[in-house]
Amino acid sequence: MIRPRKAGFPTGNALLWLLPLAFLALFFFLPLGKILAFAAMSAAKNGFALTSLAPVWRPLWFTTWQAGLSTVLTLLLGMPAAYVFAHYRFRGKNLLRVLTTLPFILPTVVAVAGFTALLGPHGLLNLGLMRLFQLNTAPITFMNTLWGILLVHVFYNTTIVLRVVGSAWAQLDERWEQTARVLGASPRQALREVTLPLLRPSILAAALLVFLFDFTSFAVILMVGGPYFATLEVAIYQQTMSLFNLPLAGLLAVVQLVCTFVITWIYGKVNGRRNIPLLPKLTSETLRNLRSFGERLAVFGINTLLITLLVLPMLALAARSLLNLGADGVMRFSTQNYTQLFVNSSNSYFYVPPAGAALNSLFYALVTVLLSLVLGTLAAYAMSRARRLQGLLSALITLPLGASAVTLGLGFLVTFTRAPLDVSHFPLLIPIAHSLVAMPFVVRTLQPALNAIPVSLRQAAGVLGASSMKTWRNVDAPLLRRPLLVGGIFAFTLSLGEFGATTFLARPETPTLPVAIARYIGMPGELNYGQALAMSTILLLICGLAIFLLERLQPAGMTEI
Amino acid sequence: MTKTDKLQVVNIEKEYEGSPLLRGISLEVKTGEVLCLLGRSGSGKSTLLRIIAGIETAEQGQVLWNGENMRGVPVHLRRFGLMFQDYALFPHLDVRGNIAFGLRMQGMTKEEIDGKVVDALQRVNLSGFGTRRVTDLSGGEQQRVALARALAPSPHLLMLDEPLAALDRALRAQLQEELRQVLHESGIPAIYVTHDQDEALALGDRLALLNEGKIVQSGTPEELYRQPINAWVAGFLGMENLLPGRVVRLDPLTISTAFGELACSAAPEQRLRVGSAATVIMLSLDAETTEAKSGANLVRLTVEEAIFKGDHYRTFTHGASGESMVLNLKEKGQRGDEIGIRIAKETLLAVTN
Repeated sequence: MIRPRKAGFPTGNALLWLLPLAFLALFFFLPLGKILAFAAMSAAKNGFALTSLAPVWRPLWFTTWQAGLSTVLTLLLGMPAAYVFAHYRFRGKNLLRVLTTLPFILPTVVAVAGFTALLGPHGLLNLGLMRLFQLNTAPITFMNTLWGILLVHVFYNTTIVLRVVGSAWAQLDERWEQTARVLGASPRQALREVTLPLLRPSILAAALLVFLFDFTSFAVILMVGGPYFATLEVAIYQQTMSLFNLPLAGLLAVVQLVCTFVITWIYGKVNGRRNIPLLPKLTSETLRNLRSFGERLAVFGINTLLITLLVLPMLALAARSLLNLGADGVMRFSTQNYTQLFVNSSNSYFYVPPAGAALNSLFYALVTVLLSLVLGTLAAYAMSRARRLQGLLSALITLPLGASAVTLGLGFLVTFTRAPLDVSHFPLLIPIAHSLVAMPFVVRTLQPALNAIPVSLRQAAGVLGASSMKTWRNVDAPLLRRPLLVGGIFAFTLSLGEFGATTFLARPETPTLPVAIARYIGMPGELNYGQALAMSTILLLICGLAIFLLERLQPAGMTEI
Repeated sequence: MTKTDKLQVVNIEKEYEGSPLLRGISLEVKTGEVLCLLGRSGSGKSTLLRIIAGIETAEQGQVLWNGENMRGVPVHLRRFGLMFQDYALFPHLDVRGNIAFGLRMQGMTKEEIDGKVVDALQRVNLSGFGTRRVTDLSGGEQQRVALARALAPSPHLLMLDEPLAALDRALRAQLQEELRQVLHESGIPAIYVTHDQDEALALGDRLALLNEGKIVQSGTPEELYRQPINAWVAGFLGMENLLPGRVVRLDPLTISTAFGELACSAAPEQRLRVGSAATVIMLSLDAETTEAKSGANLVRLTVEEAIFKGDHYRTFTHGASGESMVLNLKEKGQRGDEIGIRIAKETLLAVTN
């Protein structure tokens, strides 16, 4: 008799689990434990007096209120945009829809570079205004300002409101609103009394998610905010890298962890198990064409705002990277920023040319793809077999997403201090950290595909005389090719753009592209800045290619956040 | 009722995705009257209601309330109630909250609202249901809540879009009766949309038949059943014996059919000419067998099957050339029996094709 197999991977259950769990234990729970120990040390040393907790309170308070303010601003733009996307049919909607996936995949350093190329002291807008009005100083201050931080946060998160609220709105039965109208409610009353209460769960979910992202914001605050603004993440970084106060960094990390876990927990409560589609499914049965002048104006306004926010910085980035600001203050077209990437200039911050950073990034990204695909596939198989444990296992795998990248970096830094796993001599720790974050995505992409393979298909293969290995090769593998590719692209772009953890782990002589960009942008000199922009543009193009591939591979692609 | 209100719909035209959906619809309904709009799904019935409510706008035509054009009057100021097929109860409000909604929008005080909600619940036999969640209600209860909600703010006009379609058969019969009472007690002019002719007969004071964007025929149920203007109307009303034929003589009107030449009656507006194609509608299926071998309107048939229906046998037969005819006979016929029936001229209605 042929024993029916639930999942056809030819190894035992425990073996499937061994590798992913060992990986998590060594590279996630161990560092986490170390951080807790450091935090306890700090607490024991300073006691719990409020005065000694000031270094914690200050960043915590700033983190919270800037996240709250960013969330409110994001909702202010996102809600009308969600309405427009959910209700109207208009030209260019699909393009705009694809463009809104950009923030999901775009590295933060690239986004910041884009905004500086537009609004920074040497950005297109300032240079243009200076030339136009014969000014000596930049009229717009973007760097080191709060509004700069808020702007980039809105850039990143509007798309979440658009997706979560927009798809809920598109699926909301129009008859509720119409019934309200027929019962005597004005449009405003119908919105307030019926539509908004019905949308409340999705608005709350979107707001919480946006808040979480703003709360854990790191690169944006570090690069745009400069020395004046420190969130918990930035404070952890400063305490670790500049002040070498590891116990305090540990304490901050624990506070950060507790906060993010609480927010994630509430989000889970509110949102249930809903996933967020990479490409929003904003199709409603009753999409309307634009008719009245008012409708046209409103949609035009919203779309202009969205395009300005999402596209203009990226265009500015690409354009500015091809311009060179001469000593006379005139900009000229030049490919110098790109050609110089391969030159090891003597006054370079690093000992290698920027192209070297690209090679490092590429290498780490490939290792991340390999690691996360292998471990993710094993975990996904284990989960599809042990249906009863699925929830617990899934939670375990997803846990690293709850910890911020900076916390991961700090954890690695304090844990792996001795050979062979030594931060300063074992560069593979970087892709390992990336894999911790990429693995949950891989598992999520694989799982639906695995669950969708009917048991009967495997049994049929078995009956036809295929061995388990052959069954796997002929039945599972072809069906998994596509999700594996999607997961791989995700892992690749994620690793390529990762900044938070990498900045703790990368040695000065082997930087990754994002680390190099962040350092070059902060350095004076047109060439340094130009090279940062050139590198950012390259990353931007790679991300664009990734989006294109993802859309091709998986039209209804789901990414989970 | 001292004042008589009147809704008039004049020559409404509406396109849907480039093709005409409503093509010149005109109708009217008055206080104390229920107009049943009868038509297949996709015939534009719901769209017409939405146009009257002001949710959609027509390309052409007018909606007049007591002679006043409603163009430019927003939905919420028209005071036309509309009840959707699946009720669209507000899931975030309880039963009371749903019924109170329209009253709150009118700015009533809490006391007034409370009183009216209690009345409304009583009217639909749901007293004590006020604090229930609408998602916990059965289909029939939801229907009643929707009706109570629509009636509570005393709309000038009530429109019901297939209000019983989502319910099972037994419940439908019961609620149909309740609905009839509530509608007639309220006296509010009502437009009732359905695709079910039994429902239309039970509820409508007048019927309007909608097909391919046009009102094919309207009138009282009796008028429609006694004088269907064409074969489509007859078929839609459920008449089964529609006999295609050709006009042989005009005086007396005689049509040649597969069952022989039949003397028929016809409405004067039917333009029948000798030689033109026509359809003979048998208005009644009731018939008696006769022993006569010849005579006017004598039809000879062969029995296929007889089904007992209490006071009669529903009998399936066919004529000499194989065309089928259904009859309600007093006696049970056996398969293969040759029978003859005589059909009264008055029950045979000839219409042009």
